[in-house]
Amino acid sequence: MNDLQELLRGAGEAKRQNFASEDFADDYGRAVIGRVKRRRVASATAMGGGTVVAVGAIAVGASNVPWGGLGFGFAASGPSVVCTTSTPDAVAGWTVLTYEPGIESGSLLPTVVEGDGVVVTNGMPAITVVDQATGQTTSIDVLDEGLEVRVRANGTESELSPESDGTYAVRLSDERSVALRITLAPGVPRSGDFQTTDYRMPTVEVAIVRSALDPVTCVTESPEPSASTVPTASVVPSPSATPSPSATATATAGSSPFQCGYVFSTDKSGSDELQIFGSATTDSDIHAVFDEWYGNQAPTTEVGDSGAIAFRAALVPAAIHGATSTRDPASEESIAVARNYDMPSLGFSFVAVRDGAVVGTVTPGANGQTPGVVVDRASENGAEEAFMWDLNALTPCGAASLEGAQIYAVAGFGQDGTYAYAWHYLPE
Amino acid sequence: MSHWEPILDEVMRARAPRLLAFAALVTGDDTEAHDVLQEALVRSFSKRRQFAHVNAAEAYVRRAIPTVYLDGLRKRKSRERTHDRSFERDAASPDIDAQVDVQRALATLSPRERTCVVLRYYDDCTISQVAQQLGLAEGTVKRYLSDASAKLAVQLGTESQELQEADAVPVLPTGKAGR
Repeated sequence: MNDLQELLRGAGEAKRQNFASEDFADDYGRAVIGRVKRRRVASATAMGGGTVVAVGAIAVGASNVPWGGLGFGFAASGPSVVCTTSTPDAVAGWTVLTYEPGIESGSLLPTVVEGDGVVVTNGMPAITVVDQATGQTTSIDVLDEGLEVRVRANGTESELSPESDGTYAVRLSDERSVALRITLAPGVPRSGDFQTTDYRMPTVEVAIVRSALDPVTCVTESPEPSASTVPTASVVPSPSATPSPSATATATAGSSPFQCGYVFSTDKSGSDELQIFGSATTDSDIHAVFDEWYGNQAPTTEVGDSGAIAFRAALVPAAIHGATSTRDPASEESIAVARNYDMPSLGFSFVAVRDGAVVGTVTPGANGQTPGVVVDRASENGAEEAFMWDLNALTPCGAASLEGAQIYAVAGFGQDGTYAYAWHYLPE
Repeated sequence: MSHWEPILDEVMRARAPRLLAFAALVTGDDTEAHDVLQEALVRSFSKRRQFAHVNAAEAYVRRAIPTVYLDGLRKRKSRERTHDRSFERDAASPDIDAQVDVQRALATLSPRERTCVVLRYYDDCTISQVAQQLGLAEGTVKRYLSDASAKLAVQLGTESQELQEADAVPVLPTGKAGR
């Protein structure tokens, strides 16, 4: 043990002895527990911490990640945007590591973004660009809420100025360069943090964008039928949904019941391991349930009591647990969260269906919230239940109309790269 | 009572002194240590995280403390705090001079330097672990530790800490970057 360690430990022990005379639980316990309860309610509303890491083209739109030959998985009923580049390999071989500062989860695991990936974090990430060919790394610090972007490489440290298009060009030892788009949206309240709304962290979006030297051409193509819309109770949605450190584009459209364009061949599907029961109900019913669960606070106060149509579904067996969200468990966001919590990925949501195909989905907002939908359990041993009291929670797929659409509850469970799905039509 | 409440309660009743001591070293301020610990507890228990035992919960909260502190700094950069209160509280400690010296010396470090030092030399984290916890590059952590160690050596008469072989990471030719 060296002397600095001894001094620090002595100081720490003295501190501990001093604090031992306090009663932290009595002084602050009620306030802490109250804040935790309110956040857990808000978390149930916002759904499972999906804001921890949001990865995918959806986060920024297709135009921001135009790598060579990438086709974005838009709804089968809508157009696809395909972008090509004359030098598609110009950006290959780069990896970006971003270290999420753990705002929501306390987790500090790195998020890996490769190729066309995009990462959105709440807070200031530490970014390292790795040249896969040489192993050379360049570290980038986004400081002072975006007022300063510094790059460290080859023993020097310098401030980066944004290019005319707002990107930051990072150049290493050879002629190649990689341009990063670092976008900050200051003042975005953190998910579920309605108690301390003044405590805001900027959202930092980091994307590898192509060099300004390489022109990108994007065209809009007519939709083609998805080849993977054969419904089964257990499917592997798409190659991009396989858990891996790599963040890639969104899963192929219509490859899971959570996605636009998915075709249901039956009203109900499931297994003993994953099954949904549910029905249409009223907002009054949900209000009463919430009042019992949460008391007279959000989300109870967000649900009307007018007898309007609403939907409620339960997942059985109740023993199913995972990192829960309204997202597809095979989505990159769900995988990232599940990995952070070292849990299986569990998705439970609602979709609008017309002619057997998904025409509307519940899409968490930028902050991960899904107003109008809550998924939660009455207790740790209770079944996971999903409630939807506001049909505006459903986002139409492309130009599809949700008027008169049927509502299905959909669920998915993912573990070790295998995903099982269940659904249940909820007739009004 | 929800399943998480008994564990949270036990953490606050039985583990708070240790967590507060850690937070006080990281922040250099006893009052701020209370604020930081509250926020770390709220963050750690707010999600659907399940702690099987109070030890796991304490470890998680402890890990959240540096992040909470550094996050908070970004929004309170203009805040000025004195450390007098910290020293007053320690009046009863047996080795008061040494404690005050250590706290005064820690107070001269930048927040990131201090956090790195506490994690490295008080919590016995490796450089890699410090880097991961704080979301910093390992080279950056080395730089903070090196600078901080030099400052502390002058004030406390300790030896400037050399990076151990086990701490060495394959860094690029960049080595230690200077501002």
